Amino acid sequence: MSFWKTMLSRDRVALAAAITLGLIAVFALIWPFVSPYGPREIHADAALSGPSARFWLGTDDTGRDMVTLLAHGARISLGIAVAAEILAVLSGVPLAMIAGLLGGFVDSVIMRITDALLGFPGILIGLMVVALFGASLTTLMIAIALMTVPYLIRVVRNAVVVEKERLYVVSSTALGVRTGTLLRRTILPNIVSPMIVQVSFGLAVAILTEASLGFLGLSVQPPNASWGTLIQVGYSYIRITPWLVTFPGVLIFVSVWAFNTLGDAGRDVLDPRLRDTFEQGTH
Amino acid sequence: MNAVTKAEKRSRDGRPPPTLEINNLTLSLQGGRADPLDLVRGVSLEIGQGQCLGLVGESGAGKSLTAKAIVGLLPRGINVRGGSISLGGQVLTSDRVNWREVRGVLVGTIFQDPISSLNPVMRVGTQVHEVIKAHLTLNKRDRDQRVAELMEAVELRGDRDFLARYPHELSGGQQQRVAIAMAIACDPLLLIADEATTALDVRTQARILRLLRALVDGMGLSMLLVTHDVGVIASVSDRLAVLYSGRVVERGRTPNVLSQPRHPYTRGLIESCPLDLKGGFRTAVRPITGTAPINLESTWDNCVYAPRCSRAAAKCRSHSPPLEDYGELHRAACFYPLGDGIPDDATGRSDETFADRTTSSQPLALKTVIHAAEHPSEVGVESEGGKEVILKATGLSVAYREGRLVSYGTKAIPAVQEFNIELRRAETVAVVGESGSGKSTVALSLIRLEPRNALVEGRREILGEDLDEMGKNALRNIRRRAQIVFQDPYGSLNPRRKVVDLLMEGPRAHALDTSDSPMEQAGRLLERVGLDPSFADRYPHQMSGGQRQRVAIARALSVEPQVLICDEPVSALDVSIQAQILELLTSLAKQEGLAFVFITHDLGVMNMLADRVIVMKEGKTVETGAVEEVLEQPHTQYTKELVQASLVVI
Repeated sequence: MSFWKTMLSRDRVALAAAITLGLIAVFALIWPFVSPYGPREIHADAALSGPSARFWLGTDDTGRDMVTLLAHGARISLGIAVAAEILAVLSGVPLAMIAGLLGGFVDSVIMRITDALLGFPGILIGLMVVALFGASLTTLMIAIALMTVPYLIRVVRNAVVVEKERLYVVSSTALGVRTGTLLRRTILPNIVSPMIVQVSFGLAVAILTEASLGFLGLSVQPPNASWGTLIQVGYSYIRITPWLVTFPGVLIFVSVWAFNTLGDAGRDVLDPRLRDTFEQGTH
Repeated sequence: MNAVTKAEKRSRDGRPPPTLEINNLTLSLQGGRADPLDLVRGVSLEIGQGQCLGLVGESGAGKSLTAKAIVGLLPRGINVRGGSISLGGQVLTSDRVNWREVRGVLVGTIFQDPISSLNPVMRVGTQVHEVIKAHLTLNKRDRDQRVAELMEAVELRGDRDFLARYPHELSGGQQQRVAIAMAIACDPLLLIADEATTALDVRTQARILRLLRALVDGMGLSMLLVTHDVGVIASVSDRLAVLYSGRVVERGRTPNVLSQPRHPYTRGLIESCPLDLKGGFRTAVRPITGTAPINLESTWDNCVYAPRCSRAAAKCRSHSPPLEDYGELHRAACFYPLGDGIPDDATGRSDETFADRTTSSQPLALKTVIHAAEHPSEVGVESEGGKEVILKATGLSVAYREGRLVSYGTKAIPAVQEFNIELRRAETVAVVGESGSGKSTVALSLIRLEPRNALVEGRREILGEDLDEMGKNALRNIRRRAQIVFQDPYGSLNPRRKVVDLLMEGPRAHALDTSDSPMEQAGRLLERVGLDPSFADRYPHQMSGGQRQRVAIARALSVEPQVLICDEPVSALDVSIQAQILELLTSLAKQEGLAFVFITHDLGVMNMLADRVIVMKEGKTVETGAVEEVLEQPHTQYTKELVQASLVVI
């Protein structure tokens, strides 16, 4: 896709972020298969041991291998984030398009509800949903989707409004082009890029939220591990074995940084002041 | 070049030194190139005290750059490579210039868009005060006194209430007056007006121009008037310089140059202008063919205008013509100047023939007569019966609903009230009005394209069928017959799609005959609007404004309409390009029997194209009638003012 190509070829930091995320993903997918240890394999003799040749990043309080835990944690943390964003896109984008296209009363209703959602601190929404429906992967996913969807709706709705009022859309309507065709050929291609940017920010928020909820004990329950729950466990031993919170913390930090950087870079590419160079570069 | 400068020096003997003297100025784009690219070359100008020099040219000619060089505000990467600028004896092209003094005190500048040159969060009185405070040491009472003087000079109310307003609470004309007051606050030597009236309505424009002229005469101010509009130059300036592609091609006293241009480009500019500078409207313009050069590098060793010139000969392509003197400081850079008895095609005596001889020269007056005779001027106020009514609206009123959620739709702001139109085959009706008169709303609502928040009353018909009483598909089919062309050719073409796709969108949507390939069909459409079929393969950004507008017209033609609604189709274009598009539209009306609704603020354009006219003001129709009648005997005060403001007499 030209959008990504332009962005990554112009912005080295964004390229670094994309590579970092790629590495984390590969690690999460592959490590569990090549690891000599299982995620629940307890080595009581080596509990709370530091990094060594046997356990590269040390072990937790029950003597499980940290590298393996991080890989499984990545699967859960990233998995929840991605699933939540997919849910946000599937529910938010159609609503945003309806609001943008119809305008008027419908638009007002959808957007005011969105505003109301934005009024709650994200973590509070998470706590409410989890408190109501109990901690599970599904509720976590829904909670996170609910937190990020208002931003997505705003961005997409505005893109639709801008696009549908463009002169070329009006002139296509005059030519007799059907609304469906217009939507597919003209409006959709123009909202995809801002949507991707917003999703990138959303993923960062999702990872952070999962970590926060995990830290509060509202994410997956032991012996399952996510990055957030790993920090929660490690926190008890922070004075004795600081690496227990450091390694998952670094992974959270790096992946949030990477998603934010990608989002920023994408937004730069879409900036109207740079837009002409972008468009000319892609033809 | 050298000889000319010497001659110039001699001729100046015995006169007071000019306020502004630009000598042989060359501005170049460095931008990491081995060879700097000259954007302005060898420009020499001078303005005496109490004089107004008009600098006229099309976009990219270098007129704004020249003005910016005076105040040291050249864009990054562009430098003064040669020549000098001196203002009141001070050399501005040296290294040690106190720009703060030059910009605020010696030179005042006003720009095209008054609202963006005023601070939106500061009261206008405070802003004028600030300028004075920044440059002069006056106490509060003297400053108040000065502000009062300035307000009087720019003919504004200087009372407390007015000075306490914010810029957005003023009209465009008032904003520009405040900007002028700020520019002249410190009694500058020179006032630069860079397209200062371009964004204003005709009546306001005329008043601001009158004010500027009064300032020049009353305060002994020197003024540099930068504009693309020959009419503006004609009404205000004492002397003018015509800039083409970075060079002065002609200069001299305004009446001399405009009544007897020597350079073919100057004549082209004058004849492209829908206004007759002798005090009337033309019935036709004669466009200059081609477009201004983009790549300047190739044009310095020849006459810059040669590629578009109907008189160009071999010499013009190998040598650069110097400025020749024609008396009274009237100079033009042309080997085969006009008025030397050589008709246009007589330079064919030279070894080379020129590409385009279609624009042969006739005396101005004669030409007007010829065109007037061709023009079907016998159309009366009421269109003749018999011909089929293509487009009709009766009692059309449009209002925009405001308010959100709870209050939605409770408030409606009227935009158009009781609009009537009846348009028959091959007829052109102009809708004329200033900005905010509702004419663009008319354009859209005539074919039911108004925005969703618009509330429409009245009846609108295409080919006798009521648009409000039909379903989506019927509307789609009938709307094919009435197409719309917008002002902005940059916004009306989807930048992501090729011309061929843009042109085929309509025919595909209506499943019109597609036995030919899309390329062939697009090629035929492009030829109808005077473009090469190869344009089908381009993207919009690969075309100039004029070319884009042609594509927009071709797109409208693609579904075989019977009427084109044109909303200011030439206002965003350069004068010479504007004339080309006007010629195209005229020929479409004459040869293909298309009907037109022509929405414009320009009475000159209206007069050229339209049979009848509807004058609008603040959403209401104030006058209707045949174009000739309305121009000669306007019935309402408003129309009278419009006509007077539009006319220029030199």
